[in-house]
Amino acid sequence: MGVGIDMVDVAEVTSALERHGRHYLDRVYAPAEQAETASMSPRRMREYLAGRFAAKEAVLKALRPPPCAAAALTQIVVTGAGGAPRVELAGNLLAWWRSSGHGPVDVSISHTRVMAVAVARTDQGPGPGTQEGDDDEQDGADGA
Amino acid sequence: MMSRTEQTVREALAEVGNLDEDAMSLAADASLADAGLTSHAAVSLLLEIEDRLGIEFPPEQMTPETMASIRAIEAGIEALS
Repeated sequence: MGVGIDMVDVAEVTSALERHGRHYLDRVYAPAEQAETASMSPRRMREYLAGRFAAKEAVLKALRPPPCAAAALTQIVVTGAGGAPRVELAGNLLAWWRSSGHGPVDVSISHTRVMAVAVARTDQGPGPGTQEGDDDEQDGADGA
Repeated sequence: MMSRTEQTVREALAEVGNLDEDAMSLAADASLADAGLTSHAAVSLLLEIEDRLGIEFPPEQMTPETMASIRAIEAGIEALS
């Protein structure tokens, strides 16, 4: 089993937004995540982004991908504002995950106005072809 | 003699790193995590360096190893050129 945790100061997100704006958003958050902020108040948006950043880091800590699968943070997509977060992987990280033997990744996010924290968990199954009769295809393709 | 790249990294660190120590006098091989650089501040630092130098780090360089120290960041920048 892989477990990861991360905590983000909401003030750091506020500073990054003020300093780097679109550059920050586009390098860290996927279009689907940015779309979820469209109807949010500025304060809620900052809390949401802090929670998503913490979730992405927690996912990386839980999966521990090798350097060859180093991922842009936009390749870890955590959606589900207002409900249970859903993690999707993309790009080379998704390709590596499919062959890694990891199971789906579950994430939980919590925050106050000051801090956001996220925990990620994944079952580490056998690598492809290492267990007789095991089908290494991950159903759902991109839903981690 | 400090290189222009190292100077830029130190100035960016001082601006967005929120370190517990003075970025301008920190040892070049000192651990930035130990000096207080958070994972989010590391991303802000990369963006700040990108803006200042007009470069873009590829995803494979946006790792804890690249951000381990001033010297490691400098090496990552030089590897881009």
